[in-house]
Amino acid sequence: MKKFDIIIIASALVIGMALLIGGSINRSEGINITAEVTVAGKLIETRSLDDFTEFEINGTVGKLTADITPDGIAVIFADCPSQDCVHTGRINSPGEVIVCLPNQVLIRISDNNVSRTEVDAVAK
Amino acid sequence: MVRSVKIMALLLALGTLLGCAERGGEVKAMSDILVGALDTVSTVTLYGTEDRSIIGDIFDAVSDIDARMSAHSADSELAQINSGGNDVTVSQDTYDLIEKALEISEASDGAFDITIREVMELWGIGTDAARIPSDIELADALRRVDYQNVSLGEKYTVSLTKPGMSIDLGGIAKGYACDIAVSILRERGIEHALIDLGGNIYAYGSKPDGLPWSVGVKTPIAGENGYFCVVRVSSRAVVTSGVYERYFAQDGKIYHHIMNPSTGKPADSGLLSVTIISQSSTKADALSTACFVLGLERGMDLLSEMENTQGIFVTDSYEVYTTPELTDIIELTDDRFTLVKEQ
Repeated sequence: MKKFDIIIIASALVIGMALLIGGSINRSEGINITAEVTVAGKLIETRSLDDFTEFEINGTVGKLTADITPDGIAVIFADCPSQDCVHTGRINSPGEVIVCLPNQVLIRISDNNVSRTEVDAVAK
Repeated sequence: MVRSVKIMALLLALGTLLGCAERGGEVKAMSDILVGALDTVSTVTLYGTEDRSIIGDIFDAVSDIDARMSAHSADSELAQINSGGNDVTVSQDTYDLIEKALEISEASDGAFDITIREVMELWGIGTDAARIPSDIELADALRRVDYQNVSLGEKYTVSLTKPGMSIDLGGIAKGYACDIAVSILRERGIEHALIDLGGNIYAYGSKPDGLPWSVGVKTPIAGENGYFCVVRVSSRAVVTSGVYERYFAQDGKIYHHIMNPSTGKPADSGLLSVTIISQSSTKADALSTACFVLGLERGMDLLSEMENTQGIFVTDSYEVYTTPELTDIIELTDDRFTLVKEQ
């Protein structure tokens, strides 16, 4: 093998490794998990799960109150009869949803920039 | 020349490496959500295709099943049956599903019963009229609960033979819709997909990398959202019934929505949840309810009569029991729960 070949191989390896490492850093860093709130299919707002706050969501027939804590997002009040959304509790993993059917409200943890959760689906 | 070929090969190798780094070696996935149909949220995720019309077809089918089989909509086929006429003509789908439901009622000795609707209405769980009915009210409603009074006639006609009785396919329609979705995937040549109809999971085919899907089972504690175990499955429905989803609390006691057709009260069998794994989601859906009502021992007996059907039972002391085939492939991920291996 000639010197030139060795240089080519070595630099390819170095660049390759750098890209791989860089890629994995990109994926693990800057994880900004967000909650997307849609009402009747329209995206109303996107909230970072690092933004610990309480806020109101205007549904199609009534109001919901959600809050974000270090453990995730939950609906803590809803003026609908079923209370399914309140009973759902707090969610924080990509793909998890809270739904209020009467109000057509869907809160979904966005999986942008986040590696896959440990399971592909959860039966409930 | 030789050198330039070598360089080309290296660049190619680098390109492949780059490609993997960019995509993480994953096949493209496409996912959509449908809110409202069957009173729930449906998510379909397809792998290795860019044909979004497949998801559209599945959502159309789910909405169509909802329109025909909803007990709440006034112009559904179910509403016509419940209005009390004799020999009400329905679509073949509705007829077949009622027939399937009656088979499971028969097999489970009435633990799964689509005529439970009158009792459900009394309790009103999930509505603002939720309350504990009096014993007299329950006794009265229970007179109209008996799957044997649903009569299937020729050419897709259905009759309810006792006045005032009504049926509700809520305990089986999601499972059925899941199976219809699977048949659409099969027709359209899809190899890897995940269907989630309000928590009824169908892990279709294998994962794009050929491995089985990892499906978690929800921790059966109200207000918690994690999963307590994982099963690895291919081409299987995974359906759970539990105390945690629809309920109301009064005087510190929780009243959940899975009614025991023989008492008219929330099933009190010592279980927190039952999960069924089967090729048929329809069957899994109805069996999860039946087994929950029957309890651990009788539920296990029922499953032992069914082919290719496995179950996971969680008791109120956080013990986990499974059918024999599952003991080696279930993985507990929450140390509050204990897997009981029977000899």
